[in-house]
Amino acid sequence: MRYFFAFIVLVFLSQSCIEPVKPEFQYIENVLFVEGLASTAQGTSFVSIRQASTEFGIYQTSFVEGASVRVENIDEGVETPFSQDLESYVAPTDFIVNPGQSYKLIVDLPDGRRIESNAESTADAVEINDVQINYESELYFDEELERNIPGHQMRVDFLDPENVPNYYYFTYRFIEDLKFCERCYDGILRDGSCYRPSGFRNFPDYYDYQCDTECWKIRFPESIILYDDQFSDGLNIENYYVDNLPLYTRTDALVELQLWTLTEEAYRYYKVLKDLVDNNIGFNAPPPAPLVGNMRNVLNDEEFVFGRFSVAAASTTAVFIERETLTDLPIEPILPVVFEPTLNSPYPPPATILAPCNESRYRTAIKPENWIDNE
Amino acid sequence: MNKIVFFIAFIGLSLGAFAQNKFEFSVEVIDAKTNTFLESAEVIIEPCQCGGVTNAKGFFEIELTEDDYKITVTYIGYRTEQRNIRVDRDRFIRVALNEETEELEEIVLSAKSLMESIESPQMGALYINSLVMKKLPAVAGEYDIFKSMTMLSGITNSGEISNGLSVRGGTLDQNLLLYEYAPVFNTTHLFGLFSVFTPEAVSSVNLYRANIPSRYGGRSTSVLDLRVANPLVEKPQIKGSLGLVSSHLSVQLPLIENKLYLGAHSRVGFTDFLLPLFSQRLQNSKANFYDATFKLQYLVGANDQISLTAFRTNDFYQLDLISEIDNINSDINQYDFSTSNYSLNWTHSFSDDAYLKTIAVNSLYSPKTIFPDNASDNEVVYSSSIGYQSLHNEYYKTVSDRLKYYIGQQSVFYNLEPGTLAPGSSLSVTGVKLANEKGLLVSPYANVEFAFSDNLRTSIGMRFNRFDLDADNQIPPNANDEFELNTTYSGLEPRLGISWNLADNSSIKMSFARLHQYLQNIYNSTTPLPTSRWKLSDSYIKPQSSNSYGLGYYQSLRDGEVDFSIEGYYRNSANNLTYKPGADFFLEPRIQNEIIQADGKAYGVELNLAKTQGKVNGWINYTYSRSFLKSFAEKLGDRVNNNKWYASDFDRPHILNATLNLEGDIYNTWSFNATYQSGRPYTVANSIVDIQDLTVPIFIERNNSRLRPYYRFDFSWKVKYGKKVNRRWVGDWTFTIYNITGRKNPFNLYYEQRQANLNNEVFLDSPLGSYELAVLNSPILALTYNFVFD
Repeated sequence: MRYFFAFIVLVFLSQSCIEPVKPEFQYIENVLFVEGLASTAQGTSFVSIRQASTEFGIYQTSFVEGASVRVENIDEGVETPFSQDLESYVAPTDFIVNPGQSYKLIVDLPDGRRIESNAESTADAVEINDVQINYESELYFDEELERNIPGHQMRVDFLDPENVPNYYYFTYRFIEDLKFCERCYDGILRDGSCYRPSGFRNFPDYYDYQCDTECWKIRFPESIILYDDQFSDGLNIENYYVDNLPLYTRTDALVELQLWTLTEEAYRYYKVLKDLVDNNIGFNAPPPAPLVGNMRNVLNDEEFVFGRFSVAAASTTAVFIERETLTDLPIEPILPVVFEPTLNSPYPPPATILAPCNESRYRTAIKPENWIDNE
Repeated sequence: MNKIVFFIAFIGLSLGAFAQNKFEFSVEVIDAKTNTFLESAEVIIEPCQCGGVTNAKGFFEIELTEDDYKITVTYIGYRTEQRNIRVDRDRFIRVALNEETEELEEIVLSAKSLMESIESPQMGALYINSLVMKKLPAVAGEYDIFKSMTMLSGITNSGEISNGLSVRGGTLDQNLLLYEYAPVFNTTHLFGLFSVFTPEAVSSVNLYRANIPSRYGGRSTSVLDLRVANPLVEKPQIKGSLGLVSSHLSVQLPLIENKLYLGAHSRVGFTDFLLPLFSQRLQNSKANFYDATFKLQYLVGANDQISLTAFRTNDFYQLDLISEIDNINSDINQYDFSTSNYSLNWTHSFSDDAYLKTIAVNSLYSPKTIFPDNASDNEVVYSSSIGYQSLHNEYYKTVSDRLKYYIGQQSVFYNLEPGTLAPGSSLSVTGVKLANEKGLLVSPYANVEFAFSDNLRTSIGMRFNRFDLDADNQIPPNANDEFELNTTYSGLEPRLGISWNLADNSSIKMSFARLHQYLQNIYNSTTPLPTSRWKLSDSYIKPQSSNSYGLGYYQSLRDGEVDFSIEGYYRNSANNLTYKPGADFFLEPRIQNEIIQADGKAYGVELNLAKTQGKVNGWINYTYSRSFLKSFAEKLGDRVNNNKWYASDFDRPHILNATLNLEGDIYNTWSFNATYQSGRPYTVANSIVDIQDLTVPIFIERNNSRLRPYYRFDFSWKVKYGKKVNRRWVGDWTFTIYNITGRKNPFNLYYEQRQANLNNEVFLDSPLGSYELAVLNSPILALTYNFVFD
């Protein structure tokens, strides 16, 4: 009898497999991008028109001003003009789309091109029955931070309507109480901006400035969250995972969750978008695809017009999350508060310790409807 | 067995042998050290393709016609010996075999067989035997067929992780992979790190990529044919190994003396416990696998041999670096897939120069994706399968030194279950079952190899395909279209090889081959998942086809010690599969709506130089190769690269491979691998825009850039510290470093949203971040201790 026996000793020198590299682009000029949404919720309909160009050697997509933008209710033959507001075109405040009716977007650009969308039919809204928010100390492994991240996991229950294909898009606003509205690194706050006054060498690392009013910080999803009822038509969807809510800070938070019901074409468009921003990592990542939706140049079929006009029916719910008793380390570092000196200040007057809330899409001074004051 | 059956099946096919003188030829095989007879040594005689095994006296005898023969004598554990013999009278030879463990030469890699033989009209063929594969430095000490093959010219893959091989710019599924005549649809373990073939079971690997012999068909680029070792042993033999990645056990034994033999080879890998040790990111990952090959060989009589081979492989894994499947309410996707293949091979010899081979194959590939329920113990299971049954008959005849032919037929029945979703007790998932696809491919074929003169040899083959799809429910692209139930395709596949000897040691060859492909793997990623969908051609998805042209020059130098060749090829192809933006194939009933069929072209030049003998031996090859695709979609949004030619995923302009073996002294042997490849094409963004609070890259072109080049150096050092002299135990160490430089060869590159203050020094003012994913990030060291005890 002849025996052969072997054993192997392996030594793996494990390091990170994912490394940052300088981003590479092959920019193309004059790419036109039209993104529009018309919704059943007031104040949410908008159209964004951007065109790519290079100015002073910097490639950028700039907002196209001066366009004529309107949404046509095809069933009623009524056009609603959208007006320019900062860097988008917004609907009148009372504008909503009605379930069952069809709409299309018409854009006349300042250069004479007319861009139109295909008609979109509005689906019925689907209510969110319940939202579950559960905390986990090791929510997921963050490739960039190279550690496990704590946070809450958000799941929902909803009843899918029977005998009709439904396509869903989840989005939310994650609202946190904001105590300090500004932090100036290597400088001070004057006239709403951080700057470094001349003649000073040894600044502390930063100064913190308390909000001068109540203020809330708003975060949005970092991924595209979709669901298609192809395998669950008419069923009660329970405990469906929506997203992770990382513990950026340990302040209380409010989640305002919206469930949009889309058309199949809109769903496919957002699926491409999801592949581009969420599913592009890993061993089986799909190859990047052009984000072409339902927009077209009426006079030139060969021109790529990126983006899409979508019509959505929305339902909303909100959940308040108490986080101040949590002990895990948040993502944003906890640094000691450093106030600018107010007595015998060496800096140019006026000595400042407060900062405005600076309302924007990402901040609000208006208390959210479901906010609970725990103090 | 009644010979009348053979004559009915192939009546008129045999041209009959010309009357020639016949002589007795006998061989005695002995142990060179002990001079004892070696029973059951295998004697292979070419060109008659005859032979047998030695008896208890180490003796084998056969009647041969007058001719020149090459005699090969093999015996497990001993070094193979070859003799060239002129049989012009009764001849007797004695062959003394040396044990491998005693042989200094065992570490010498025989690269000669990697080259073309000068005279043969077969072109583009590569052969590698298990001994060569075992000597190449291997990742984690796991010697692997696929990794070895990529050291040969014209063969690449998707990167460190690749679920198959790309041959001359073709896709992974355009390469037919046969393991003891049965197709293997998922070829790798651990998501592509190792191939599934039980290492100890494989005896040889043949790759055909030019004038593919007409006995092969069904894929449009190439054929990789692996054979399982014959378990012809005199007494039981056991081999084994125990490792962290996998453990092997191999048994060969005679069940009935001189009649029935069994070879059983298995490998298992349970690496779950290792994964979290490497990285926190792998703490939710699981991976285990096994494969097993069994071969029963029955020597019925002097003229008949029957073998039954069974092959079973299974993988289970759960990996965070794989995108999850949408629309099923589960947090985890688990992959479980298995192959069960059976091959029955009966060879009947009519004479020394004519035989009939009948092969029956049953193959079943059954992948599953498991979705554990979030709230209960229930599992939702997605399953699919590929059933494959074939009957293959071939009659082979050597009419004379100048004329050989074979004729046969292959009938293949496919039964595909494209997908079933079983909800179990889940209340939030409905069951789905896609209609089965059944197809019958019948392919009669013939091939004649004829030498017009000593200098001019040809191989002319023809294969005819008739493919019938019987779809239970072939769903049209639009709901209102009429159903088309049956589809038939047919096509001729000429195969031509011409060899012109310029001198005794040099030749020029030309080749042509046409191939059709009726079964394709549909996936939309760098490398397919094992669960990715397979699809038979139907009314909407046309069969893929290709025409390959080849021209080469071959030169043997220094009495065969050094071989040189240069080979060029051009291949045009039709109906290659590519995918519409956002295509999703999971349980998609109208999959044709997600697919675009594209034209393809590939061309290249391969240079090979091999030194096959001496203390310093090895090979080096350089390949210049290109591979392109072009779509013809009318709709603007469906066009790929706006219907212009673009580089396919397997376009690799420059590939350089080198293997060097240094036989130092009786105790030390060193081997080196070096490989360089142009980076894989990938797609960079043409613009950027903000949507839904996300910065989104906008892509217009496809594969408009290239990853960094891939290169790798490997090293192995074998130290033998004892000789088997009056000792029952001898051991040696093999030390391997795979990827010596620790190069992080990129597998993929992707954009990410910028996070405040993160990697600012790398991303600078870019609106998006960018990350490179590498599979290996350091040298992989393996130290193997082997010992032999008897």
